[in-house]
This record gives sequence, C-alpha cells and structure tokens, in this order.
Amino acid sequence: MHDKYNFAFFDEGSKKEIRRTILKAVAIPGYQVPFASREMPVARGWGTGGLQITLVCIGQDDILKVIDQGSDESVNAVSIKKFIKATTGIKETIDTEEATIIQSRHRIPEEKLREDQILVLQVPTPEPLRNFEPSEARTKELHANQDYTGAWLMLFEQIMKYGNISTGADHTVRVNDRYIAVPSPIPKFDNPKMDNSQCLILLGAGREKKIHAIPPYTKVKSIDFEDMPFKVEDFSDKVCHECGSSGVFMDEIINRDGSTIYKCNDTSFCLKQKERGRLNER
Amino acid sequence: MSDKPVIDVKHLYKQFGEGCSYCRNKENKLAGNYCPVCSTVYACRDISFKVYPGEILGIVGESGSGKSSLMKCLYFDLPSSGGEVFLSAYEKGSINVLNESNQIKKKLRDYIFGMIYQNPYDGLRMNISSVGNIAEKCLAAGIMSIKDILSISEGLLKKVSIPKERMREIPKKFSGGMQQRVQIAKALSNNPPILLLDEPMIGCSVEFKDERGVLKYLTRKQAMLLK
Amino acid sequence: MAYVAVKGGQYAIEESIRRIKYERLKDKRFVSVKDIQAGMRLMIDQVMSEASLYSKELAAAAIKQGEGSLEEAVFLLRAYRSTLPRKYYSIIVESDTMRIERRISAAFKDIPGGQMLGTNFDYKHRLFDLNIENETLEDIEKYVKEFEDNIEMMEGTDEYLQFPKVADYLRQQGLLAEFPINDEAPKDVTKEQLSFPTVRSERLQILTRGMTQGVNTLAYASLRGYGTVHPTVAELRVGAFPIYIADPVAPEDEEEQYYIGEIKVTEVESLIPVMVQKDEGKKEINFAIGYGIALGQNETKAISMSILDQTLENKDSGFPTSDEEFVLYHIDSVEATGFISHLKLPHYVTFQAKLNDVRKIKRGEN
Repeated sequence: MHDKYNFAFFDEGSKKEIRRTILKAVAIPGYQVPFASREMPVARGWGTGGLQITLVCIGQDDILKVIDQGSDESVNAVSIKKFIKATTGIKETIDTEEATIIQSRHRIPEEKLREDQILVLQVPTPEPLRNFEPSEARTKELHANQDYTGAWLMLFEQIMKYGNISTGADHTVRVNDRYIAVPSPIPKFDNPKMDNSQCLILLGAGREKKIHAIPPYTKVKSIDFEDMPFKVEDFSDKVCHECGSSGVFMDEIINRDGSTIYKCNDTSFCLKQKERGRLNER
Repeated sequence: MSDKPVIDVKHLYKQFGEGCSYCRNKENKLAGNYCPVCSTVYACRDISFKVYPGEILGIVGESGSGKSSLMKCLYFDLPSSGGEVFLSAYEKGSINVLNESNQIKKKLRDYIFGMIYQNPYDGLRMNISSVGNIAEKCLAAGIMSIKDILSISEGLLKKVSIPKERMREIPKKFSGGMQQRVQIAKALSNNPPILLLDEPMIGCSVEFKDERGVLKYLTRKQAMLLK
Repeated sequence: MAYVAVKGGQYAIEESIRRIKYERLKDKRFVSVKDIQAGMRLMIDQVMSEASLYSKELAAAAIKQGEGSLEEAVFLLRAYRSTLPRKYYSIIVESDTMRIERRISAAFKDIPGGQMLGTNFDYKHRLFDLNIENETLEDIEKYVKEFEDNIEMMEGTDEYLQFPKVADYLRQQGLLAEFPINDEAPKDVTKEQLSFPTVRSERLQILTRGMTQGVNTLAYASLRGYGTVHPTVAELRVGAFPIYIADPVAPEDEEEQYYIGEIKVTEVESLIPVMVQKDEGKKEINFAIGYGIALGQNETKAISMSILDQTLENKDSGFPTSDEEFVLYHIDSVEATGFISHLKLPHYVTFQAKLNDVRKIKRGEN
C-alpha cells in the first residue's frame, strides 16, 4: 500500500488546502472553519475529520497514538492506526507521554499533555446549537450575532425536566469568551482539561466538513448557571480494579455474577500505573 | 412626564415588493396600499410618532393597513424600507437604531423591548416549556441564575393566572388564551422599557378582555405601543 | 488479565479481516472484473454516478471487492478519488453535442429527429426469464451474430447522431422563461464546502452524485404531494460526450485542445410551469427547466434530479423537498451510510457519562 499511495495518503495539494483550514481554525479559537472534507477509506462518522487532520499534520519523525473511547485497541483506533501506519510508515505508541500526535475519539488522556504534542479529536456533530436549530444557515447567523441563548436554554430545559444537567458527553464550551463550541463527545470529566491546555487541540468533523481548534493556553469554559455550576462526573469513591487508581474516568464492568467493578477507561494509563505498582512492590 | 421620548420614530417606510415606475411616482394612485401594476404593497408610508415614559399609544386601523408590519419593523423582525428610530435607552437617543448591526439589534430586542405578537406561535417556542420560554427572554437579557429565572417566571405567570403546576408544560398543550398569557409573561420578564403589543388580547377569556385593567397591573413604568 | 483486555482487540480485528476474504472465496469460484463489466452494465453506471468517477474498469473492480454491495463500491471509489491529484478541469461541454443512443420526449409526439428508443427495460414485460440460468456461450455468440448481421443504416443518417433540443423549440416560441447566459465558473463541491444559500452549480453537483434511491425517494415525495413539482419530460437523452482539456500552455487556443475520451451520460430536461416576474413587476406564466444529468444510463435518477432541481429553485414552498439543507445534506451515499454505520462503534464513554447523569438524577442529587 505504501508504494502506491503518496506519503500520508493525500496528494500534496489536498494537504496544503487542509493545513490552511487548520491555520484559520487556530487563528479564530472555537470557530468552525468549513473545509472540503475528502472521502477517506474509513467510513464517514468513523473519525474521518480527525484522520484528515492527523494525515496533514504528520511528518516522518512523528510518533502516533490513536485511542477510541480511552482504548488503544478498540476497533476504530486499530483501524485508523493501521491505515496511517500503512501510508506513512511512522512509529506508533500506546504511551501518551511518548506520542507527538494523539488522535482520540471521545476522551482526553489522563496524563497531562504538553506543548510539543497535538491532540486531534474526532467530532460527529460540530455545531453546538444543532439541537436547538436544525438549519446551518441560521446557526451561522446565531454565531455571528453571538446569539447563544439557545445553548443555555437547552440546559435550562433539561433542568426543568430532570432537575439537573444531563448533557452526558459533549457539554458545550465557550472558547476564548467568544464562540461556543462542542468539545467533541468527551465526558464532562475531560472538559476542564481543555481549559488553558498546554497542547494544541484540533477538532475535525469529516462528514460535516468543519474543523475547529483550541490553541494552547486558551480559556475554555463549560457553560452553566450562576447557581448551578458545571460539575464533572464523580468517580472519587471508585477504585480501579486493575491498577488501584482513583480520580480518573472509570469504565463500569459487569461481571457474570451481576456484580460491578470499575477499571480505568484510559487503558494505557492503567497499564502504566500497574507496572509502576509492580515495581514499587519489588 | 419626562421631556425625552422613550421611542422616537421618524418617517418610517415599509414596502413589500420592488416597486415599479408606476408606483414610484407619487402622483399615481394606488389601490389602497397596493400597486395595481406590480403588486407591491406599501404597508407603512411616512410614519412618525413619539412615546414618552408611562404613555400608552394605541394604533387602530383596518386589517391589512400595516399595523403589524410597523410593530415588526420596530422589533427588527422585518427590515424597514426607510426612516429612523431613536431609543432613549440606547446611546441617549442619538443614533438611528435601524442602521445598527444585527448584533446591536439583537441586544436592543433583548434588553429594551418586550413584544407580544398577535399570534402566539410567533412569540413562543411551542415545544419548550412555558417556564423555558420565559427563561429564553431572561437569559438573553443576562439573567443567568436559575433561582432568579424561576422567581421571575412564577411571579409573572401568577399575574396572568397560569397555575404554577402547569409552568413546566409546553404551550402547545395550552388553549389559545393561555398561550397568549404565557407570551405576555415572556415579554415582561426582562422588565423592558418599551412594550410592543400587537392585538394581545385576541383569544383571551372574558376576565382578560379589559385591556386597560390588565395593562395597568402589568406595569406603570413602561411605555407601550398597542394596536 | 488487564493485558489480555488491552491486547485482545487487535487480534480479533485481524481475524475478522481475514474472514471477509474467506467469505468471498469460500465457494472457490469467482467473477472476473471483465465479467462484471460485461454483464453488470447498469450496476456499473450507478456506481460511477454515485462515486463521481467515470471508469468502468475501476467501478467493476470496486463492485468485486465490495462483494456486490453498491454502497461499499461507491465508498471505495470515492476514497480512491481523494488520492488522485486533479490537474485539469475539462472544457465546458455544450450538451447538444451529445452522440445520441436514445432520445425520447414525453412532451411532443413528433420532435425534429424523431423519438429514438435505444435500450431500456421500459418496453419489455418484467417476466422473469427462467432460462437465463442456462445461457451458454454458444447461445450468446449466435444471438450477437444474428443481431449484428441485421443492422441496417437508415438512409441519410450516419453513425454520429445529433439532434436539436426540444427545449430550444420552446425557447424560440417564447414559452421558456428567459435567462441571461451565465458564464460564471461552477463551484466545485469537492473542493469547497457548501454554504447556504447555495448556487445552482453546487446543487446540481450534489444531486448528480447523490444516492440513487435517495434522490428518487425525495423526488417521488415531491411528485406525490409533498411538493409542487409535476414535470413533463421535454426530453430524455442517453449518449456520449467527447471531453477535451485545454492546452496548459495555450489555454485560449481552440485548435490546441486535447481529446481525453468520452463519457456516457443520461440527460433530462423537464418542463415545469412557473410564474415569472417580467419587467415592471408584472407576472406571467411560463415554463422553467428542471435539469437532470447522471453518469452512465441512470434514467430514473436523472428525472428525479430534474424534479429536485426545480423544488430547490422554489425555496418557499414550505415542503422539505424545497429545503436545500434538508435535501443536499442527506442524499450523499458515503455520508449517510457512514454516519449510520458509526452507530456500531463502541460508545462506552459517552454512554457511561449519560448513565452517570441518569443515576444522579434518579438519586435526586444536584
């Protein structure tokens, strides 16, 4: 495959075009920049936005990590990693600290990311106002007018209906006090990691043909109310069954006997913690 | 009474259609407000008035005479075809707001105006709870506390006789009169200096028909336009 | 144990991939790409049209790789297309230069040049041929020879048939809404994202590469009642266009154009009555043309496209078929099938986050 296709799949003209989109996105934090999203050998909705960003940013010296829902070995992560490897031949890793580019679906790794790393997030629906207003032409206008009442109104309605905020993943954020944006469907637990992040975060929506960015050291605030502040999922009373960590995002595992145990969702972090634990025991 | 009008409208025009050489010539006769040649409708032609704090201005006219178009131009729902509007609450009445950007117009709608449409479907989101509808106006006007929004909503809904137990229901399930009353509560929730009412009492039940009575308890501070 | 949980995925995936190939080969028989090209003409046409890539060979190979799944074949070709540098735009084709194979009009019985049936299933009863299973090479050769021996050229015709367009006749009569010639270069939807309101060149491109059944469904809805368009097919043509590119050194020189091949297309011009604004604001009834074109022989799709072209021109009808975001965002095969199939991906984290909220609400916590 490597012989017949260009380095990183795309022709160089396409790469330049997408890079220009990324630069614009970095220049206007949180603003969704439209781009001519290419059809990829990976299905739409399976991370083609993230994949295109990764392919145009990657160079021969980069070290790649791909995770899906916290796992390096999930079907989607494996497939994307295999594809990038086949068209670039670059080195891959599961170690968050070693990676220079991390493409992720629905999670930000537990280990703190650095200035020399890029986090690429896959976005299914990049428009935070889409549930409020189905028309793209209209939501563009709302952004231009900074008319964001709809975002708060949707939260308010949830509170009226359920007595609490129930956004699950993809809780809308305000970037740099200007645009509202989706953080991609990461759990609320990961939202604070975006605020003033040291690493560049690029978010790509292939099917919807939009790229937005959170440049390093940018203010990112999850939307909330004065008397009902934003809260993350609480796992403080849970301990990982494997590595003994707590205070991280946990997967709930149901045993055959019906009992429940918890494990770190970030599997490579978990392995590392376990390894450290083993060394300490010696 | 203050000597500064809350709203000062000068030579406002609104037409639907491009117009043609026949109707642009003021000497030619229109059929009512309708050009017999190109079907352009002249809804508002050269309208000027001033309203002072605490005043109520009522506008009467046949149906199709442009009353609702005037309201919609003032609330920026429709672009005006010409004229000037000054608001004392914005830049001390020194700027024609019709020429301001959409961002500014949105702010003016959120902070300075309350609007009650003839048809509640224009003023309410029918699939969002009644209290959510009121919240929309409050949030737009910068009220970001749930407690405050709830206390404003409960107070206003009580005034318009919507029982507290029903405030989480969607207006779609309500009768026309109840919808209209939710709309009144929504329009008042940001305590606007100017209230625009476009036949607000259509469909309201008998005890609500006494418009002056209702308006009296709604507010004493605001200026109103009413048709 | 954690090691197994983390490392198990990759192995399972590799085995699954090995198994797809086995499923295709396990009967120890295969269809060659040439066989697909010979016998699956219309399938290839549909795939080329949705992939917006005109190559019968590649379409046949994609059908083979995708085990006959058209959405898979389209997907493969579109992805391959992303890797090809695009160096030229062809010179604009005037569509009356088509070398016609088939041409019918539903508007007029007698049209200059006459109706020409060409090939289509329309004129045949759809009786299932129970003998088709037993077709032999001998039968085929006999049939082909007999057919070819009986071809007679009509007097006064040559092989390259070109006819005037039915729409031109109506235009001369003053029955078609007049528009100034629009020489603006079309926008390329594969290089520039749609923005609303769209221009017609963008709409036509999205429609022509749309999912065949998706385009048909929406057009049918409009025809049946959820829309206003009931067209008359002024003309449906199937035939080939020669394609030229300009000399990169002398782009203006018409003598120096390069012929790069020909493409077969289906072209439809439908007539739809419309009110048009004349000078001084007066209104008048006239006909507008709904335009449909599709690579290969894709007649239903091309007609459907001509309907949707018109519903999208008439934005204020209030029907979803006139809502350009509704139509244009949802008829692309790769986008629709991709996003629906993504529901099979793990959603462990998002679901865990939702679960967390639901439990919190059930407990009545803030």
